[in-house]
Amino acid sequence: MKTPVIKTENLTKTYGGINRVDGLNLKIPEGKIYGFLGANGAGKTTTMKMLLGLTPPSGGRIEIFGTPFEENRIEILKKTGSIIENPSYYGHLTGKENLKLLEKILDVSEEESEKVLKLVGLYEERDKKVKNYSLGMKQRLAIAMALLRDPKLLILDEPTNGLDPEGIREIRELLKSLARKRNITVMISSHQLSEIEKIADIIGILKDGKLIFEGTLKELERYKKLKTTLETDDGLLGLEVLSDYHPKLLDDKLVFENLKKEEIPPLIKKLVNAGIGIYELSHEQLNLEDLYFEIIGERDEPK
Amino acid sequence: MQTVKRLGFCKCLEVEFLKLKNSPLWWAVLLLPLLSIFIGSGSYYLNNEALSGGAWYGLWTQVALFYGYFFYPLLMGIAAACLWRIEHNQNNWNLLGTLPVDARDIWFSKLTVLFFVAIISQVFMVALYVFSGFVILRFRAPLPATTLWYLFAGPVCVMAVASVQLYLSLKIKSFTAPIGICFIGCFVGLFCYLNGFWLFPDTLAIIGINATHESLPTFSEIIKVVSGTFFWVVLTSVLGIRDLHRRES
Amino acid sequence: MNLSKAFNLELYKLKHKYFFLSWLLLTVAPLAYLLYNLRTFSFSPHIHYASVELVYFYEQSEIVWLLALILPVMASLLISKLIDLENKNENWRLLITANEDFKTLWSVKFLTVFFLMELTTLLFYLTAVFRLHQILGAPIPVGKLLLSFIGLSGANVMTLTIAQGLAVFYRNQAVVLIEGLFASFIALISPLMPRWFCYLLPWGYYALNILATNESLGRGSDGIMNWKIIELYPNYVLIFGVALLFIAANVALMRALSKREI
Repeated sequence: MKTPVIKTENLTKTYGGINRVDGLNLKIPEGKIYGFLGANGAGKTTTMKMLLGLTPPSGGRIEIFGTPFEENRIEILKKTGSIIENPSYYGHLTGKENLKLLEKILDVSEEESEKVLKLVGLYEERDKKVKNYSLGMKQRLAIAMALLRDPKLLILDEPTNGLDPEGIREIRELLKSLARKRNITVMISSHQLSEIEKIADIIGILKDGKLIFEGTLKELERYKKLKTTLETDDGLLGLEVLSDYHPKLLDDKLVFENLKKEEIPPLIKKLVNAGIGIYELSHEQLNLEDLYFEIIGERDEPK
Repeated sequence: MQTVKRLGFCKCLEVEFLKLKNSPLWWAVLLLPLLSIFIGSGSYYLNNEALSGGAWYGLWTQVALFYGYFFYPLLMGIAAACLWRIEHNQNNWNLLGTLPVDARDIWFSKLTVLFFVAIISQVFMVALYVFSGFVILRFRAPLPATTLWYLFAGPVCVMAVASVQLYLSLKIKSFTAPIGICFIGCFVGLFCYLNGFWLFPDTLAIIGINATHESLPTFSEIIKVVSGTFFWVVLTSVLGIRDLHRRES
Repeated sequence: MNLSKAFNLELYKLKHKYFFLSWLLLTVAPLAYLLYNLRTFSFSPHIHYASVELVYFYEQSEIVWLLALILPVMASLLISKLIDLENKNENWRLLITANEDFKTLWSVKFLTVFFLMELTTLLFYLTAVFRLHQILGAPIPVGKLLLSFIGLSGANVMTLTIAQGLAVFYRNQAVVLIEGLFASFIALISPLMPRWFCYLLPWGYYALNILATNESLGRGSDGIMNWKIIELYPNYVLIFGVALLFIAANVALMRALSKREI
């Protein structure tokens, strides 16, 4: 098995006695897009900061590119581009000048800057001062700055934040092509479940600092439940009659989990035989959003 | 169209004070007079034979000279910068524009806070001065009338500097630049003072603190100084409010 | 990254920022004041100089007053500008993840402001000394003046170390500016204070480098106070010793702050 690009063992970060990141065992393989999902405060940003050495971990180990992070920091960071929380920039300088600054630090040529500006679609606005950029443009600049060192790994904290749908699609396509064509590993965090769904090969779900799921979308779908809702005129009787199917009674409706399609006709027969009237039957598959909330153990309130 | 009920001056004032709630500014307001008096009294005690004039006047020269020339105006400069800091930093201008507040109320509430800072500082200063004179240095002479002048003229005259600084901090996004200008202004003010040009804001502040004349200023001098301060406050208020209006629209 | 490259980078960051103009204005205003005071010089019958050297030394003591006022405020203002560049928008993150060393950044910013402070001190010294030389024609006591200049440099190190520490530690730049206000105040009144006071606080070390002071001779028959100028001998061993301690403290502070979370 190929060594994962990012591997953490029991990664922990404690603030004021509470483990904001609790025993994380991440495995991010090369050339894949890893979607880091979690609510606000779940520990996504803290984890990413530890992976970049911006915050020292309270416990555990980090290995990036197969080597321990602490000892090979400089080499690792040379190949890693990142955005953490809000984009960083010098507002009084132009987009081009901001990149020029990075050029000087990273020892990179001017052509690279131009390439990267064109890649994110900021080439036309490169001579405008960044303080006058819109939020979306600032975000693009941050992505450009992350890409400038031709990285093998990208750690991006909500990179599509503030972009319009067009922009989100562009960045999504860009990240996908970088991963496929240049074998760059991308770790992105997001709240946008739909985004993660469209872009990630592997998903990691963080809740209260713990990694409660890590796997492909297909593996996640195994959690996908079928939900069958049956509205009858006598819910309590129905509960008794159909007890073999383990229904729950919610709002006077019978809810069944993972009922196969074939099981439905005999079920209806049973109800009819017991004299129970059926108003409505619906049979649906949970989408990723419902699934996500199921996994993190919260019910989504109907709006 | 329904006119939105404006929040009003008092509400603005409340907000401005809230902004300064945990500011390090209050340390300066507290400690600067304390230090001035402590050190000035010590200096008076050690050097009093070399000082001319009455005891109270001598003490005031030691206590208030540097304070009045530089540190009191600088304190106001920093306070003014603090008041606009939140608007500049968080790009609060859009927010400010959508709230039902009048530009006039915004400006005058900030100016009032500055006046409050000036008064507190000076009252504290004068109180410690009196305490030092009577209790620590055990002066026998009665408190001269000039003490009242210090109490009132100090804060009033320094408002010339304060209002100019408030305007500068509004126009200039940088926090430190207006303070740098204030500092240079202190020197220019001193220069003007020595050459009789009394209208410069810092010069008015120097006259207000009155650390070089033993007697009370004459009536005409008082009129001069108060009108000078009034001039700066009005000028900067007009410019400031106009600027705020433009930002709102 | 080596220092020269880091300086180059720092200068690039200051583009469109009028940083050096600020320094220039902060120096020129008081310098103009000094020149104005020195436009004429005459010997007052009430002030007695034992030697012509003492005229230079007494003038030096006057400029130390001015420098004591300006330099701490200048230190706070300028270092605040440099540090705030990085405090804004979490630019520290941008730099650290690009492998720019915090220690290099700290050193470069320190040295830039220190250099400017030294330049101001030098300009004051040169202006006063050469103007006096022009008027008096007397030989310049270079040795003692140079020593006092180095002593003042030590005070500059102390002032700037404290200012930079505060600017990095506290996001709110009002803190370092208020500290500058206090520092300047203490530096300014230190010459009036007893020696132990000056030794106690770092900003008092400006006063410790004064080369002459006046001593009252009592009032003359015309009722005006007479003064005698006497030479002062700064304890350079102590001054340099403490300055060296502060250099060590600076390095320690740099190391400690480099470990903070960004």
